[in-house]
This record gives sequence, structure tokens and C-alpha cells, in this order.
Amino acid sequence: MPDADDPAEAKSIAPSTSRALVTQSSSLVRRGLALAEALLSRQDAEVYYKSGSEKVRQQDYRHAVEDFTRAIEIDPAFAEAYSSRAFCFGHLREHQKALQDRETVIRLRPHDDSAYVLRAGLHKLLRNYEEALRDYTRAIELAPEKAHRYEWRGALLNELEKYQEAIDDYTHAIELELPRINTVAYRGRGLARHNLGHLEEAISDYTHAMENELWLIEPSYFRGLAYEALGRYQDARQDYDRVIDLSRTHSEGDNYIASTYLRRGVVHQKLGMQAEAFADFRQATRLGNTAARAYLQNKR
Amino acid sequence: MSREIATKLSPEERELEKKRGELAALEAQLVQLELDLATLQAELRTFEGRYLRFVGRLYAELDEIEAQIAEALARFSPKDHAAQQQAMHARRQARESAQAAGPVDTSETSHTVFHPSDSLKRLYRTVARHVHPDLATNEQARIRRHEVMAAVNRAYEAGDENRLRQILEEWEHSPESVEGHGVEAELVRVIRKRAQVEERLQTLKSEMAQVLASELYQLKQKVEAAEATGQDFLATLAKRVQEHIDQARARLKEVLSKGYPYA
Repeated sequence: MPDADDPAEAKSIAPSTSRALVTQSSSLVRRGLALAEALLSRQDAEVYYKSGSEKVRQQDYRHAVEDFTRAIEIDPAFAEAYSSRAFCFGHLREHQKALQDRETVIRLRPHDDSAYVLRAGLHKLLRNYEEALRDYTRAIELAPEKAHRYEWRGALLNELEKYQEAIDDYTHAIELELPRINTVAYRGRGLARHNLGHLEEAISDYTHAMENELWLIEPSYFRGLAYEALGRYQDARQDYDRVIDLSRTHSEGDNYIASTYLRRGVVHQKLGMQAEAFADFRQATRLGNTAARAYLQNKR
Repeated sequence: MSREIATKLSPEERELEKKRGELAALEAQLVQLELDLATLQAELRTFEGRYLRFVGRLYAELDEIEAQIAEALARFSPKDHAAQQQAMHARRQARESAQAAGPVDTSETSHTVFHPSDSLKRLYRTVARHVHPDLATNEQARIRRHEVMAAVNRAYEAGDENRLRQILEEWEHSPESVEGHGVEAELVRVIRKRAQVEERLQTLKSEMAQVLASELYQLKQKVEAAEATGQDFLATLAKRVQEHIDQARARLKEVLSKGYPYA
């Protein structure tokens, strides 16, 4: 017990006119004072934090960083301020600084699963894939019930061509979200299976992904590719038709439209529909697909 | 001639008049400082009561749970000397905190701020000027006056004007209020009083400084500054301590549910 709690010392404050200042509670008061000081400095820091957040809304990231820095100076344990500053550094393309702040957040809150997810995203951006993978894994350990973390780790594993592990993650994400159809996970697992050459299974996943949101262009395109690889040209043609049809109303199709014309041209060729194939190649060429030009030249 | 004699003061008398004037000024200062200190201490006491009711007792509750956790761990590891020590330490802390937090006094809940009225303050100054121990001329009287002054302070803190008036009335009827005569005796008395008053003023100033530097006063200042901005700051503090209590409870449950056999 510290000396100051000694009742003898407490008494020394008591005036000689026997008006003892009550100090029996001094240890309780000391704890309250320390807490009050911490909370009040936190309140000052929060004023800057709010101001910074307002600047983030206005996309003024440079000045937002200044506010978050002030908040951190007042309260060096202000995890949200580091996190927000990291977000700003990200926008300012100062990824190393962002990473430093993300690390501080994790030091302050080692059990905050989101903090690991955010650092993982940054590691991924910086191509530190092993670190990113480790962070996703830690986040999953801390909050195993959150499906989208499996999706994100699955996506990273797909990029790293670790398809079997990706499939496991996506399967987990799908099961966690049942009975809801996890479109993202079905799409990701479809890609992983596709890449492993498990075409039938990939087709089944793409079909699930499309079940929920039929307008999804990407799964249609990929399923078309899978059907094409299996020689099911009629099915492939239907999917490519859908992509082309949906692209008229959805800008998401822009990335796929040229390739889809090319693929449909190939399928038309396989089906002996030369005129249609020619029209598709021409359209693909017009949209900038260089491979289609080769087909056109072959044709001539 | 006779008129001249009547108005012309002897050197002793002149000295006495001068000293009386100085003493009166010092007495006024003394009484004001006593009042300020009494007011501050009453405010602190009231604040302390409020703090202990809202926050202090939660710390006591927290320490009790921590003690239970430490004791459970000590039971599970009877040969772990550090665990035994820790349990003893935690139990002592819990006991001290419970004692410091005191019993939950619900009767005081309405009494949340000390607001002395001007008439109460005026009355205090009047009574203090009469009964102040440092205005006593001998040690015996001084001791008696200490007791009276303590009663004055208690009555003031309780805001009890009637009690103050009663003390004053009793005092005026006491033999001590009648002072001896003779210029020389009076001069000696005044000089002695003045030394006592000056000494007391120094003591009061240092007491005041101590009170202002106390943790309780700092806490009161912080809480009231926050309250002035419309925050219920004691509630904020209480909420934070309550969070610690909830965490400690969860930990206690976890420790107990591990199912170690009791030693």
C-alpha cells in the first residue's frame, strides 16, 4: 500500500480546529482522479478526432491527417485515431505510414479482429502476401463466425494460386451463411475449381452465384468459359448471349464484353455458324480485342 | 483644560488604539479565511459523498471481485506462494476500499451540493469573531474555544443557522466574554492576541494550500468543469468502472468454471 494512504498523513490536512478533511477515501479518490484525467484528455482528443473525421468526409485527407495526429498527441492510446489516419495515408498513397499506424492499432488492441483485416488489406496492396495471409488467419481465429474474412482469405489464396486452400475457405464461408446464398463465395470457389480444371463443380458454383443475382455478368462469362472447355457449346453460347444482353444495361459488363464477343465467335465457329462467328469477331475487334483480329485474319 | 486632558491619550492608550486597529483588521482577515476554508471543506465533503456514492462504491465492488478471483486462483494452486500472497493482498485492498467507500447512505442523496446562504456566512463570521480560539488570552480558554469552534464549523457545514445563533447566545452569556480592564493589561492582551492571530493566519493559509492541492479537490474541479458543459461526468466515470466490474465478473466466472478441485 502506498504511503499516501496512511491515515496519519491524511490527518495532516486536517486543520487544528478539528475540521478533519475526510481522506479515508483517498485511495478511491486517487483512482477516480486518474480515470477522470484519462477521460478528459480523451475528450480533448476526440474534438480533433471529430474534426478529422469531418475532413475525411470532405475527402480532405491531408488536413484530416493533421487532426488525427493532434488527437494522437493528446491521447497516444487513441486506437481509432491511428486507424483513421491510416485510412487517410492510404488515400494519400503513403502506404508505409499507413502500415505503421495499422501496426500501432494492433499493438493497442491485439484482440480486435478488424484491425488484422485492415492490415491484411494493406499488406496485400504492398504485395506482402505472406503477411496478409497471416493477418487474415489471425482475424479468423479471433472471430471465426465472420464469413467474409474466409472470402477475403480465399481471394488472396486464389491470387497465390493456392486453389485447394481457397476452396476450403470459400466452402466455410458458404456454410456459415446458409441458408443465404453467398454469391461472392460461390463465385470465388467456382474460379478456384475452374483453375484446378474441376469444370463440372465450377459450373455448379457459378450457377449458385447466379441464382441469387441473375444479372451478375461475371459468373455468366466464367460459366460460359467452363461450358466451352467441356465442349458444351450450346450452353456456352447461352451464357455469352446473356453477358452481351446484360452489358447493354450494366456497366459491369464493360470489362467482359470484348472477350465475350470473341468467345461467342469461337463457339459459333464450333457450331458451324460462320456468319455469326464473323460478326462476333468483328465486333470484338471493334471493341479493341486484339486476339479477335487474328481470328478475323485467319478467316480471310 | 479638563477637556484637553479628556481627549489627550496617554502613550499607552495611543499604542493600544493603534494595536487594536491592527488586530481588528487581522481578525477580519482571519475570520474570512476560516469561513473560506470551512466552506471549501464542506463543499469537498459533500462532493466526496457524491463521488463515493456514484463511483467509489463501484471501485469497492471491483476490488471485492478481484479479491474473489485472487482467492479462487490461490485455492486452485495451494503451493503457489505468489498466488497466496496475491490473494492476501487483494483481500486487504478490497477490505480497505469497502471501508473507504463506507456504507451506502441513501439519506444523503438529496444533499448533493453545499450552498451556504449569505446570512449563514455572515452569522459564521460573527460567531467566529467571538469564539475563535486564537483570540483567547490563556491556554485554558483556548482549549475551550477549540471545542466551541468545532461546533461552529459543524453547524456551518450542516447549514444550521439556529445552532449558530444558539452558540453565539451561549457564548455572550459566558464569563469569558467579559474581559478585564486596565490599559496595560489590555495592551499586553492585544499584543499577544495579535501574535496568535498572525500565527493562525499562516496555518490557515497553508491548510488552504494543502486542500487546494489535494486529489479530492482536483477531482472535484474536473468533475464540476465537465458538469458545467452539461455532462454528467460522475455517471461517465461510473460507467467506465462498471465496465471493469463486468469484465472482472466474466473473469471470475471463467476462473470458477475451470473446475479445479478446491484445495
